[in-house]
Amino acid sequence: MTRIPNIFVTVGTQLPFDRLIRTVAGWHSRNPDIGVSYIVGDTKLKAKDFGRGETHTRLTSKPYDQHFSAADLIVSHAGMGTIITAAEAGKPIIIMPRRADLGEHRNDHQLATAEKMTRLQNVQRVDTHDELVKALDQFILTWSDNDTAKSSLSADATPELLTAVRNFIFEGRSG
Amino acid sequence: MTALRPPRVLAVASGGGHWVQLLRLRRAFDGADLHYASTVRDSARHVSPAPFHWFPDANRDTKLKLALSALIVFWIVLRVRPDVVVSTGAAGGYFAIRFAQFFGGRGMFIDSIANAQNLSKAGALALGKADRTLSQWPEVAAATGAEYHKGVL
Repeated sequence: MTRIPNIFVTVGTQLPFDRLIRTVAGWHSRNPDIGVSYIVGDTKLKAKDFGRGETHTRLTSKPYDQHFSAADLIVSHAGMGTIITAAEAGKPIIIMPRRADLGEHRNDHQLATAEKMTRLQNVQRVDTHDELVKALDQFILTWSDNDTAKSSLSADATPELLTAVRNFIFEGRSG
Repeated sequence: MTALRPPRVLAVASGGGHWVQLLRLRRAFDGADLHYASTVRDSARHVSPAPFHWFPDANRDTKLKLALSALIVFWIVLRVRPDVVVSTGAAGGYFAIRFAQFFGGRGMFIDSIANAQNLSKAGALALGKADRTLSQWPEVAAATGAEYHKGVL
């Protein structure tokens, strides 16, 4: 039997982002066996809304790192820091950019960040409740596949980078 | 005709994200006489049986630690005598490239994927000094003159 996957959800600690939190919590209530922990920031949701989920208003860096590294999937607002940390760790991350017109941020810079970061293989961008639910379902469906085979310590860089490095190493050699 | 010996490669990265990114390059090292160097001793098990060399992590803010780190990297380069150094950062990788060049080797510095807005300090130092300096972000490469060949993700 495969291990139960862990999902770490973070929307930072500043502005509320209940559209994301509520969607994950709703999904979790239909998939209660999955391990989900949250940094909920400033939220209107109540403890009961999170079911079995573990919630934190904020985390200091050490427990944050522990949650992050224990996670098999990160779900996050389109914050640069979180995306980069996931990229460095080679960990899959679903990002939902905050929208100014919904009062989720002062401006739409997260849309630009999301646009830019979607180029990374580990990043999946969603914009709506339905897209996020679908992405979470998809993650669970493919879970046994990416359990170990795609772990951050065994995966490869892009073919372009591997070729550039290889050509440099073996420059001037026929073999 | 004499067979060329395989190139001796020293792959260098600080711990954490730098090390994870270096491991993603492993396939590019196939066929090389490969050595690794990093700041976390336990990382040796990720690359066993390849020889692993430890050096202390250095923060740019503490000059003494930086000097000690450079000294130990120098010692590693002296012993390994790499033909090629490949590094995904940070400071230790830059030092290894410069020392290897001193002994006739070549070096490639691949700036961490974390540097999506600017080159890191070590990356900026490597630019123009390392034989090749790469950014993993096309915008950063275009703005700095670093090369871009996609990235580790």
